[in-house]
Amino acid sequence: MIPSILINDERLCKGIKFKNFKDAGSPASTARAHNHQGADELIVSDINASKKNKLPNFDILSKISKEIFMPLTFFGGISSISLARKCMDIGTDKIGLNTQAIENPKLIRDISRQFGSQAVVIGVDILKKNNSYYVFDHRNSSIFNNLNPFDWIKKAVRMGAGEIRVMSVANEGTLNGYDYELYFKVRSLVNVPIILEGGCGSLNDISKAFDCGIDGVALGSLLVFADNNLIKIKKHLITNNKNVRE
Amino acid sequence: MNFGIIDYGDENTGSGNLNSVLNYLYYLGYSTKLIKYPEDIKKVDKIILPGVGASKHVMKNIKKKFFDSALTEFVIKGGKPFLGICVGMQILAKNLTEFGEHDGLGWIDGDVISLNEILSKEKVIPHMGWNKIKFKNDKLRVNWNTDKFNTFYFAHSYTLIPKSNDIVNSTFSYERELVAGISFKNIIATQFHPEKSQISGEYFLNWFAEWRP
Repeated sequence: MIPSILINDERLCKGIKFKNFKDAGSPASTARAHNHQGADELIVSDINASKKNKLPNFDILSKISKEIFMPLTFFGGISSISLARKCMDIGTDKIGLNTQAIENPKLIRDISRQFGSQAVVIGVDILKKNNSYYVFDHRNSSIFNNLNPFDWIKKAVRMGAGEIRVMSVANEGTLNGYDYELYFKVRSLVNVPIILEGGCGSLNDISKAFDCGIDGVALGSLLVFADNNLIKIKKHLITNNKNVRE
Repeated sequence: MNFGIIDYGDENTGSGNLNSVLNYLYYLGYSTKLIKYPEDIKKVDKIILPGVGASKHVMKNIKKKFFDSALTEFVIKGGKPFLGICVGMQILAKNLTEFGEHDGLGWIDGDVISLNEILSKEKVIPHMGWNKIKFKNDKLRVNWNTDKFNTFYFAHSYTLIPKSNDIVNSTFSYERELVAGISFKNIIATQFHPEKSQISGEYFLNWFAEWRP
């Protein structure tokens, strides 16, 4: 179980379908709570970095990494190997690339050659429309024309990506459940770990994800705006005989 | 207790995840020192060789900064307690194969090979996430309340295959049994990341601090 938190300047935030972001507290203290409640990993995304073409917020990232002793993945405007290196030096374990990799796929190869494949996570925001899947561009809420999401995922793995984070845009922030079908589609294409994100709204959604054998599920709104925490979720899973780390 | 963490990074590769290890030891209340030059190894009680990165890069940097001969002198000859983590364990082997065949430090007779070569095609690689380890060899006296704190974080695409199983202190299961940790004399090394393993890592690192090989 992987809490996924978003940073907007100095604060945490959370939106619905990549819009209407609301303030959600302090990043470092939230990260600390997730660590002590036994989160398996943490994903931090700086939502402004690539949108506004800014540098990632290294200061917040450094504060977070001093609070947590579990794997940390960082997304947000990492457009060069030197920025990736800076994130790794601060204590990030995995470099998350989204639109930067689409614009410069060579980045995947460069970073994985230097830090290993396990350090490169490709984030793909996928929008389902009329039963077709498109790659969504979060910077301006449009879609990438002429880019098939599944071809892109295969290419990214060929180039050295060690993990894929699949975000289902239509479900994001809705608490309506994961897009399991999307997961199985990606699973059939590549053999790297897949993190599924977008839509988790109940303890049963997480149970179901376990039954589907999903490598990792990201939790957003469920932990931010609903009356849930990881301890409660783990208890629920253990009661339902799921194999979780205690 | 004074820990020395080998900083083999350079301006091109940065320092890998040295800071993760530093942060956790600091949080647990230990004094730590980044070792930037081989002669500084003298000043510390125990040595940690962390590892993130491709083994080829790591070996190149270690040689460039003359850590290979210094480590052999202080650890193999001098007997200073040593902990290698992830790639920091893999490069102890004789033969490495990540991005082409090359030599490791050669403290362990064995090979480091890709998981792709030994696991089935369907298996998810890298092996990434939490996994339980099983203890193999009581003679190696490895115990940090291991009945309870035995789930650790892994992230790797390569695995160590030692010639002799006598040095294997623990294994994990990922389609088949693979090496989680090895130990001999004053050396212990792990494929998992104690610095990323929350409470299990805390027990492990406290045990290493107390360890009198």
